[in-house]
Amino acid sequence: MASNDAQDPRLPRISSAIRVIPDFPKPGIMFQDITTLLLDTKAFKDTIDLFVERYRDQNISVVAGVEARGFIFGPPIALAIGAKFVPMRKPNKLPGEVISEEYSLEYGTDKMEMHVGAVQAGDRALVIDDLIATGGTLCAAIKLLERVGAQVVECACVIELPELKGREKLTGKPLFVLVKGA
Amino acid sequence: MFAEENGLKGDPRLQAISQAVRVVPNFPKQGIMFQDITTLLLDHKAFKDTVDIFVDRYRDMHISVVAGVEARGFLFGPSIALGIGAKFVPLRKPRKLPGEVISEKYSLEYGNDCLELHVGAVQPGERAIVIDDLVATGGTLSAAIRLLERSGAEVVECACVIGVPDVKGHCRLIGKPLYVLVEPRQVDKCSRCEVDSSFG
Repeated sequence: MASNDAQDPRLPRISSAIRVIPDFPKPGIMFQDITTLLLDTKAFKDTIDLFVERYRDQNISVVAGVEARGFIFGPPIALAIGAKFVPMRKPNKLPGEVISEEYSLEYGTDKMEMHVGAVQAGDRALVIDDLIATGGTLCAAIKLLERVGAQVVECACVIELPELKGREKLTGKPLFVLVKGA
Repeated sequence: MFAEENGLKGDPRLQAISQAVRVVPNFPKQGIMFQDITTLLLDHKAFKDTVDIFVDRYRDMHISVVAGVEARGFLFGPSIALGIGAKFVPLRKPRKLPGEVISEKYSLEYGNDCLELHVGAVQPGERAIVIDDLVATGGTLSAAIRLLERSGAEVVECACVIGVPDVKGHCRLIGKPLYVLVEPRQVDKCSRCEVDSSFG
């Protein structure tokens, strides 16, 4: 969680700026919609600042963002901390040579891809997404980065759904989140 | 209009930005010289300069909405929005946005596609810019403009990192001013590449 002691005063506004949409994409799911956070300029800026403050002195050279909502938070963080931004994409989107990692969905599998050569051995990396649910996507991103010899320092998300225990799927990597959703 | 013709003539940042883009031949199909901006994102200075050029242009234009086209518009739009104090509004492919949306169809070479915008994200009277990585035919940008105008916003300009030089044609097609940093390159002079079409 953000802040070890008292809650950071920026967090309540960030939390209430997130809109919950019931039954999307299917009945029973309470979807955490971050688009409303992006409409609140102070809350969005505070979100980025909280991540930047945490990582700016950790010699991070790569921020990897998971398509597509990871593309919204990752680049501003990368720019502020002086790191490269690397998009982790669905299949057949990246135009150059890629490496792929398959991961499980509730029904079936999907694949995540990263450009060959974007990340070097020894790079210190963060993985960014808007939300962690089961952890499958983040786990695939970690594996891709480790396959090319990067060190994944931490995964960072705006929202965690703790009941889904995604934190346990991260092969021991730490997870940092700003808010927890039901 | 190109940045070079509009106040940034000889700006060394533009050459570095151009050279940071990788050209991938025959993607997604034969004959297309794909302009890959992922290499620009690996060059921190060039990426920062890209964002700074747009922020410098728009910060005093009272823009309250930056609309970014999924997915590569998401790579540039939010940083620009944060830099100028505007909201960021994602324009997405169908069924990605969870709330109530308005949709706009547009033509592809073969068939149609559709862009969506959340109802209520944009208010009447807001001044908006549309961001994408590249403008080719202008079909996507035209759909984006229509969505914003249907919400009552005034689209002030469309901004892209890369655009073809047929500027007059594009302005006519889109109906709005278009601001572009660099032209597409035909050969791979990517500064990060040693071997054609790979990172070397």
